[in-house]
Amino acid sequence: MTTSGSIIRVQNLHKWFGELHVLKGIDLEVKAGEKVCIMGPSGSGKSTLLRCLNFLEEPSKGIVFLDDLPVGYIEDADGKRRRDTESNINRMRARMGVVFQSFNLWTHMTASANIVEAPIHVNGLSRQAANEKALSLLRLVGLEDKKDAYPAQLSGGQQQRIAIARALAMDPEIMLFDEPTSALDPELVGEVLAVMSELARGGMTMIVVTHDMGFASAVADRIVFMDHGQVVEEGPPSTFFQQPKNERTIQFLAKMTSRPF
Amino acid sequence: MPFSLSIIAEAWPTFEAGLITTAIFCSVASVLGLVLAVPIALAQFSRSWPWRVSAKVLVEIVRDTPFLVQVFVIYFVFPATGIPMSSTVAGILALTIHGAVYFSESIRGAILSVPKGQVDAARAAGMSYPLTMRRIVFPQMMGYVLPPIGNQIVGLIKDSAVLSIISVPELSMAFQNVLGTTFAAPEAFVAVAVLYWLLTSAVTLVMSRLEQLTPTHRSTQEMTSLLAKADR
Repeated sequence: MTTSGSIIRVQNLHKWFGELHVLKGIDLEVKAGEKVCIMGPSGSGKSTLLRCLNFLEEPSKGIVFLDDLPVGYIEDADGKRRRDTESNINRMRARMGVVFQSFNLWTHMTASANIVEAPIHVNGLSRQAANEKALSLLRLVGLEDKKDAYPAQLSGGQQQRIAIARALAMDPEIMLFDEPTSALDPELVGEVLAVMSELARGGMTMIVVTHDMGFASAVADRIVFMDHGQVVEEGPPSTFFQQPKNERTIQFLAKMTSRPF
Repeated sequence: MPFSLSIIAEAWPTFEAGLITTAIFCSVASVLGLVLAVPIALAQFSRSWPWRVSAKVLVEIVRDTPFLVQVFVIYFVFPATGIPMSSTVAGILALTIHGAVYFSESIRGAILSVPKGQVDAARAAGMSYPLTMRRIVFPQMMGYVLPPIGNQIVGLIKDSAVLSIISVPELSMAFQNVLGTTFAAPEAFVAVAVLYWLLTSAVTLVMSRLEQLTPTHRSTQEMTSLLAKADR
């Protein structure tokens, strides 16, 4: 299937927003089944990196591979790259589930309508099959009783769990989480992390941008630390948290652990 | 001379014909205008600049010139270039273009009012641009788009009075005819004002009914009733 054995491979990824150089040459590999947490101070480019992975942001330079296929581009015979067709980009995106910081549930649809929307209209699933799937996913995230609720009627934690169910409904090969608990009240963080841990135990490949050190050390196989648009340090949680090598990592961890909660 | 309703009654057939003409012209122009407004609005979000620029130029030209002048240009300039133009075609065309541009600005504003995260979520799920527009953006913008569209249809009805200048037999033209034959100025003034008012009120009524059907309105309603319950 793959030659590199990695499901996601990022090569020398750069992103400029005008003059602002947000990503300065990122290299990253994620193997199938691996759980990678991306940490780092705000403005370090974590979210931009995540959005580049499924082409929600177009990389300015460098490339992302999903199963060794370039995301968003095709290469001509002479090695020049051009933008892939829209339908190929959409197909590529459908293989990756995304969970956003601000949930982004479609406000005009009920919880279950949010979940069945893309499976029906993108994957062509029958309404009945989609509904059955939605029900089992609602059970997974513990919100069966909320299937007819509109997002405005749900708490932040409930909305985020529905958003996870919505992403899972597409049977993604990998799940991308962009600070999934940062917008939540502290007492609601746990219920979302519980669902994510459950997912991790089930073997899902996950890339999680997070500030939650507890979750990262419990779930991650590897922590990637970013600062100023670069990967500064990476390693398993034990080494990362106990013996950080890079000066900026040490400073960041000191700040995180001294926060008065 | 006392105010006499019988004068209005006698002149009613003229008024009625004018009212019907105004209603037909405005209905046709509103429908065609709305159909044209969607691509004009979407073109301004296009990735290719020729679409963006031509839509913007059209919008600016129509917005920045008086409707009267637009009517003259269509009625007198087109025939001069060899395109035949009746007052009916010119009238409907002028109203349609005028309506399309103003509707498109409302639609553009409403599209902008849908939070970007809603589109991100759709694209991330693999939904195409047209599908995202149809399933996510359009339903959500209905609550934002209907009130200004209603105002603009009312505006269109009032602006259509200008078409009497190119002798479209619409309501103000009817009024001028009645005035010319009966010399009953107060009665004719009151009658024409009331008839315009009836027409615009009907539009306002229909639009507010439509607003209640939009998803935005419904979810707001549900939220309000939920909050009311929580307060009890």
